[in-house]
Amino acid sequence: MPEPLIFEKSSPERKGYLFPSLDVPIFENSLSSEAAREDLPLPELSELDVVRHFTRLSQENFSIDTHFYPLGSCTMKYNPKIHDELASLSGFSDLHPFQPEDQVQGALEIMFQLQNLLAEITGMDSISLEPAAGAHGEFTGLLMVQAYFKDKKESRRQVLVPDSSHGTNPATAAMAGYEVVQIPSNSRGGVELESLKQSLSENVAALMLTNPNTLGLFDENILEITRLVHEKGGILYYDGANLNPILGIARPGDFGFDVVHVNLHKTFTIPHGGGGPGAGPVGVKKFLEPYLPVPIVKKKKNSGQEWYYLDDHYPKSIGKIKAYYGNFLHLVRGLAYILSQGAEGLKRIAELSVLNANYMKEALKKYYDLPYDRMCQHEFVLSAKKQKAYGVKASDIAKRLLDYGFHPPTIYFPLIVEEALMIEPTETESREMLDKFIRAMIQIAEEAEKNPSLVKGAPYTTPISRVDEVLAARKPNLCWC
Amino acid sequence: MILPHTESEIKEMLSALGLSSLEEMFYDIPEKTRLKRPLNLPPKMSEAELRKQFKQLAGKNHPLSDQISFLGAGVYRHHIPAIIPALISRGEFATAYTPYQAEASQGTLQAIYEYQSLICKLVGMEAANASHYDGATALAEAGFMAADISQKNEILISRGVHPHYRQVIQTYSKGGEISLMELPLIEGETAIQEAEKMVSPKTAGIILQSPNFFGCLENILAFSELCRKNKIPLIISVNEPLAYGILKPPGELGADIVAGEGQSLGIPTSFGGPHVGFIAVKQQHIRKLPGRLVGMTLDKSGKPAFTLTLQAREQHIRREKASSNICTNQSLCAVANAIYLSVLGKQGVQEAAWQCYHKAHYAFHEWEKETGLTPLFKAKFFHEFAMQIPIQSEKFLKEMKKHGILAGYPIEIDYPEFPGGILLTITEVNTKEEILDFSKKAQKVLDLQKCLNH
Repeated sequence: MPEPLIFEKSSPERKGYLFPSLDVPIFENSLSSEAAREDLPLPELSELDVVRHFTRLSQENFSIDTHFYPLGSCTMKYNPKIHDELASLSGFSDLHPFQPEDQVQGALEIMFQLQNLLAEITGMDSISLEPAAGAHGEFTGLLMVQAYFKDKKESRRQVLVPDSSHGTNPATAAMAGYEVVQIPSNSRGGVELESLKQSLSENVAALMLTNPNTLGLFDENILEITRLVHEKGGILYYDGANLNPILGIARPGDFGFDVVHVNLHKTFTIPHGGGGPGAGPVGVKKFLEPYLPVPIVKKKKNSGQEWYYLDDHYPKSIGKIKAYYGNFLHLVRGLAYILSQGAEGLKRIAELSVLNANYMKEALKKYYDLPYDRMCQHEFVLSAKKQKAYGVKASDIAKRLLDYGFHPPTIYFPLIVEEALMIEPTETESREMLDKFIRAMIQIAEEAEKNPSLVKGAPYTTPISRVDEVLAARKPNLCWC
Repeated sequence: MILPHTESEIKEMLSALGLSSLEEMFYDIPEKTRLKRPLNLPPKMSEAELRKQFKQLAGKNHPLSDQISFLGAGVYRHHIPAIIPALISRGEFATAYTPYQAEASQGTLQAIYEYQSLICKLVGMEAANASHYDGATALAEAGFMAADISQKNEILISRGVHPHYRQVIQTYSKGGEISLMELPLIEGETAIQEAEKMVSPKTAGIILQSPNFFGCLENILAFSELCRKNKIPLIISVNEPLAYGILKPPGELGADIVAGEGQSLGIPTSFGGPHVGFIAVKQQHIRKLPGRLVGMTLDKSGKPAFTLTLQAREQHIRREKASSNICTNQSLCAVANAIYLSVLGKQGVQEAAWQCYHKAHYAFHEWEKETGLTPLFKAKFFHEFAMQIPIQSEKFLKEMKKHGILAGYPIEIDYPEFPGGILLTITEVNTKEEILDFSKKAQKVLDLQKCLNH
């Protein structure tokens, strides 16, 4: 811990912020001793103390702005700075959610436009911008599925998820009250059709599918899969975590998906913020519209003028999924991104993200095991099986990459690949950067063979060495008390 | 934004793959579902065009800073120290992912550990998660926790809880983990006598908000005794954490879970988001917390270090058996909270809270005396209170807006039992002049209405 805790830098009676003087008389009949708190154990620092503290902390991070960050499944592309400038305009950031409609027409117009553009991009009929993140969007989607079947007086208890799915899919299905049935993958990395057929019944509410899946592979049987599920009256849920490589190439709605969530913080380049906030809009086909969370932004003519308004007249709605109307400032960023790209730009993003991934995959497959040797989409999954023979695991390779100045790929996911290294370069990286990363990976493969202890001892250049996770879990210390 | 690839690089990269066109990379997508037309989107814009377009859109809005506002109702305007946007917009914080690789993420991890600790100190608890989507969703998942702790299903929730929060928890309950029963209000406070009658062997926990939606301070102690007696957890929902700069924190009054919203602590109102939720608990419940947790541990050389911990509760490990499906949270907003609580510190947080308190009480008495508005309730409050308007609240608010004043929130939207009631909020941002201006304009509006009625 090179930087002490903020509490350790505190000095009694020091102040960091000056308020305007109180301009009203003190209220004499003040708080009783039962109501008032005795002590407020917060730190006491100067403004400069705090600035240096958090600046130093920031410098202990790897980030997109400082490092190549090919973290699979997370779409760590460059986040254009202009979006932050736009989101911080006081006409957006200084709005209250309960201001009268005539004072927020610009904000509602942004939401309206984003709803329409996301519907076009995903091939859906209607969009709710309310969910705050991908998993939140999944929950919203499944509650709509539940409401739909309840309306139809059908009792369906199961949700199918492939074994390659994100952990949020089964967790969401359980939270929405469903029994989770796992479908195995076939030898090409797609959904095993025979197992799917066997699992399908009148008891299945939905199949949740990520396509391209978490192996980075597009399931060629997609039309057969959606046909089979629909045939049994089930709903097709599209997990949009991997939407990036099909932007402008194909649309989930056209494959037959009925519900889609989109991760604005992945595909649409909202900064990840060290884990959030994100935004997870949900799109649906017409027949699910009545169940959308409220409100939805609508447009009408008001004495000849265009007028935007929040419509919460959806009697069959699942209700509100979040207070107010979603992570609005992120919606500003998302819209700015789409407008800055246009149709051609979005398609180019998809193409170059796929080109970058395939370029790296081809260069690395001689050195690392490639369990599914076929054309990938925006990401690909290697296995450190070969290196394991020398006692070097995927996690060791990840740590060693830090010494080479790269953020590692996602490791040990998807679960169906042994010692998985999941690499997603994104389209914003240049070929030079890909080549540098490829060279580092090749060198680490050599080190694993010739000097495995070097790799197993990594990292050597970070502010700390490997952490004792067992200690952290055995005696959890979550608060400086 | 322009991508870095030159045309010749693209050709070389394709030839390294043995391909002659970009299109060939997509042959796994069934031909008939590939898009045969360009997406129907507006033509692309340069940075300069974007800036112009969004300034125009922003110009169609009317920010709070350009008018006098007494709007609160769960979202509060406070002074935001300039260092907060400056620090959280640093790329090292803003463009990092979830800190899965501890060695490359000590900055985020330590900042979040400090955030967890600062939140605990403010509300008097012993452990907090690394943030949640917002106060409403945090409360809903706190409800799930209560059901898990008590192994029962029925949650009693006060009608004094923010209406959006009640709607969200209602939506969350559709998964079947909990069912909800509403605790009625008497004089703006949750009725303890009713609660005593409603608690049954099925009760999983009680949810109370304090200060509640009407600004009234609830008797947390009485409810914690009731919960203690029935061995069920008490959940306190918090909209305005700054109140606990001066009020006795829920943790000291017997709350088992405190779930709330951190927007007040350094985050702009932002038309409702992103804000940031938190869930804080007593030590014995930490393994039931949803979401990420940052813990302090040691590195291999024995140095203190931070890491995500107790991940066995989480979806990426436990899948359908996880305690919640949450993955992405509101990390950067949590860092903003940590910076706010650090730079204001002990004295600054107290001062902000006292200023809210004194100004709100000044306004309350001033308006009661001068305007013909009457208090709806007698309960103690922090910086927010409900008043009865002698005319239709919609009419009143519209007329006040013409005078440049947002005169509060019409509570009959959510509480038809209070027609003509408005909720008014005064924070340290409001000045005496604004408060007096409200009096003058309110008198004018009400006098005019009286004349029109005669």
